[in-house]
Amino acid sequence: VANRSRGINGGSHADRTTRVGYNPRPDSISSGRKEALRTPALSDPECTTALLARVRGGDAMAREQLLARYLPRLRRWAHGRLPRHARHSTDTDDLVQVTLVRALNRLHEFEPQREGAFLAYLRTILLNAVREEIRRVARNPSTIPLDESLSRVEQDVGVTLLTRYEAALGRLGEVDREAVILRVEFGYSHREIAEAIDSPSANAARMTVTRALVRLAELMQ
Amino acid sequence: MSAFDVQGPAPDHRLLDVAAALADGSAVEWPTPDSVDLGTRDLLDRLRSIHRVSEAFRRASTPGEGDRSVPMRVPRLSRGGICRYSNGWEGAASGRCTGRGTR
Repeated sequence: VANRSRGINGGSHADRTTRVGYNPRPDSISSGRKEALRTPALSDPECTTALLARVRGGDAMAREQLLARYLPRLRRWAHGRLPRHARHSTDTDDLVQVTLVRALNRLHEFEPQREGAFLAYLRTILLNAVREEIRRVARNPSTIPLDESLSRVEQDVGVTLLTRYEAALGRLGEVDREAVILRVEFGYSHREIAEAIDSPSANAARMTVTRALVRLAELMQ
Repeated sequence: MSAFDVQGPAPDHRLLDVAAALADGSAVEWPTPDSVDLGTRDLLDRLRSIHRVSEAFRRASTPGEGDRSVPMRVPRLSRGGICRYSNGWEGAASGRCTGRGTR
């Protein structure tokens, strides 16, 4: 934590939640190399793991900072995973917000060592919430047209491929899984991934993602 | 056996080139099927599938693309019954953010 407090892993997510959205194409190879040489600013906001420790200690402000940091990212993610009928902004907001608040209330059960682990944890419980929502609606299928029962991602790639992807993802090692999730699903830049998985540089994170993608391909049936 | 196992054969560099392009989000130059062996071709097909998944997440997460834009209001700080959002919008705490731990 002390190391992170100096800004090495601190990132600037609190700022980025408001000024940067999904960041799908942030790093060319050359820019990644430049990033590796850049020293994080000492004024970077507090890192996620430090905030989590403060939340565990009952710090309400740290809790709000975490909410502000992760709500937009999780909303965007959930928007792609929720079926069309449940994709109205109110529904997405409610699902994500309730899920995140519940996760913060259960921090005593899980102590993530990295931001990547925390986000992967949030993704898991949010995915479970999404599946529960789908099951809830499926109990009364007559009310929902078939084409509204699929999420945007499912509509794009098909349920079969997404299931294969999820299954392979579940068999990856922890850090590889986090790297893939952060890059593929949340659009983190390599620098952000480096901070989130405790990698020494953006280039190292880029290599981790590259190799993780090959391993993921190997595991896809 | 993974392509990165020390005892296994070295992975085709084109496989890594494709994976690196996917990691970077840059344009992918897919090798022609007949220029690689069967095993590499199979892995390239799977990388193509991962690429599709990645693109689907990108499209689904991009505001304005698709059927509905993503709400961008972010509950940031709230004091004294007022919810303040990152875009400057403020609303009474009787709005949707009440009771969700952000008031």
